[in-house]
Amino acid sequence: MTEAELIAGIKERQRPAFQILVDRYRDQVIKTAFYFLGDMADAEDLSQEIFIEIIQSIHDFRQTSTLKTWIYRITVNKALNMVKQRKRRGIFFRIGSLFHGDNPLNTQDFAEPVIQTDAVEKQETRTMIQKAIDKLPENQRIAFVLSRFDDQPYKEIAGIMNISLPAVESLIFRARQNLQKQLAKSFPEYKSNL
Amino acid sequence: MTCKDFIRSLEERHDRNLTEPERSDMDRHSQECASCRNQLAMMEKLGSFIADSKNATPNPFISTRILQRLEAEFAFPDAPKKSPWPLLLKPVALTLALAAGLLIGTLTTRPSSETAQVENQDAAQFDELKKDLFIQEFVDEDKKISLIH
Repeated sequence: MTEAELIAGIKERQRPAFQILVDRYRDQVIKTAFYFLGDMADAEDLSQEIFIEIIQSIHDFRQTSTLKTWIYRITVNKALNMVKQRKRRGIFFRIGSLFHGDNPLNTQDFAEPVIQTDAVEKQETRTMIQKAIDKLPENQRIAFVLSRFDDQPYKEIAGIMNISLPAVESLIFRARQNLQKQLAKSFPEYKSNL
Repeated sequence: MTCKDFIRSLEERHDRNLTEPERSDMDRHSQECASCRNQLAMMEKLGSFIADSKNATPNPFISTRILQRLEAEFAFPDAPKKSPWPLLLKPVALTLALAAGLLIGTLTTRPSSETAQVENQDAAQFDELKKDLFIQEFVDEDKKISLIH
């Protein structure tokens, strides 16, 4: 089925077209969402919302870009919205915990001593790196994640973000510099003198 | 190689394959400079994080879950429609069976007035019989007395 036929099938709400859409773009959608969210279960849940959005908005797709690029745009927007929601929820949870007197920050003081295994250390490193990436300005984060995690060429990233090729290069360059600074803060043992 | 050159090469190595002299320059510089060695270690941590993320795989049944959600959300005009007949036939068949049961019941049992009439007849016949027996006994007794005398 060609892209035009697939789009027509989705517009007519045909089941086989939905099946092909999911089979063709499932991995792209889930993986990209996962790179932004850092959690596979969340990425899988979000993928359902993304496919619903694709079908609901297919009539607005003017085919000035490829379907793949358009789906990337929806995925990135939805994933970033979810990151923002999680941050907001995190703030409310912390405020709520303070009022209920079970401040999660203090529980560490009473926790039993944990034997630092490689897995635990690796998980901590992952969390720190994910936090450092989340702290990047939104445009830099999109360009960096699509380039380094999703292996998308700069031209494709320019299409997804609707910006010029030099702008993509500049965003990725600045993202790397900022990330190095963030990581240096997270891992003081690697602090550079630069 | 200066520290600035090292960092530039560190950034560029993701976009292009570094030449052999560039790589050996980086190795030499990282052995001499602790700060750049730390930068390299940090970037390797990031590289390993990215590699791990790329290896993550979604649930194998995710397609089914997504399609089920889409089916719940959207109506498929080409989906095979279920006939409403089995649903309608059930109560109709039940009503018919109930009606048939009532009819059979009505036909096989007598109306209550008729039953009462038969019962009255039986009681009258029994009374007649009892009366006959009493008279017979009285007559027999009478015969016995007359014989004694």
